[in-house]
Amino acid sequence: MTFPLYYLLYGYYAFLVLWGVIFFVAVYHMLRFSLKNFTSLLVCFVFIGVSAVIFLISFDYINAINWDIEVTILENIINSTKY
Amino acid sequence: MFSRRKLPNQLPGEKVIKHVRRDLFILFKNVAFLVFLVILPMLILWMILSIYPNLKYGEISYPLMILSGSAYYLFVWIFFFFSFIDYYLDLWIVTNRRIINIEQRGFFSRIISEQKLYRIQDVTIETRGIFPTVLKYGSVFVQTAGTKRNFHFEEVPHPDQIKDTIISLVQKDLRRHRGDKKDYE
Repeated sequence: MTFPLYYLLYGYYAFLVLWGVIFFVAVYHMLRFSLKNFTSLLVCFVFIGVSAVIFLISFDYINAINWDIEVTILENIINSTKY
Repeated sequence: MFSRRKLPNQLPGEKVIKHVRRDLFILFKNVAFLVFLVILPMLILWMILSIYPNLKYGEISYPLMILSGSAYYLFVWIFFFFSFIDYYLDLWIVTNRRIINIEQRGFFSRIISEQKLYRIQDVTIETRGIFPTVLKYGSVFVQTAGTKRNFHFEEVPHPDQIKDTIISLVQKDLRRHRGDKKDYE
């Protein structure tokens, strides 16, 4: 079975959409329901900052990969079932 | 956000005496678990790569490692933030008139309840286990009159001090309340 490598990215993007929704709900809860003080704002800032760092590192690695190549998997299994 | 000085439905002459959160050790446990979850896949990857070094150069294995690693760390980070929110948004506020219990249960469930001090009948503390005994944290149960649900301060630092504070405030409030009633009658 052959498919372009960028198909893997679709699954990753779907995860990112779900993660993004949870991320906004989390930040909203923190800002809406916490005490109005420096700690609450610092916590939000740290949470967003660390998330941004994870994203930056991830995209650094992801950009270094050639996603246009075609990959073949399960070829031996498929061939062996033919004969 | 709400302010420490301006409580929800603040009563006239009401002053905040104490804000109580769970003990910092509970947060420390969450941080320790986060560190474990961060290190664990690195160890597993190191072990797998030492057995199958070619996986690092595979056309599909390397992109899969990068994508799953990124998704894993994003998940772990938001999981930690969830647990932090659960810790941080659970709050007990003791004022000179009442006790307010603010409890976050998951993301879409939030309970805010309050109890007037003069209705409190009994305050009990419970310290159970090695860590709570050594680190001096535990539970405080506040029993009120009637069939209303009791208050439970969970895993709070120095429960004995909280108990003393509440009992002293209850006695003051009872005196004030009886005085008000006499004046009213």
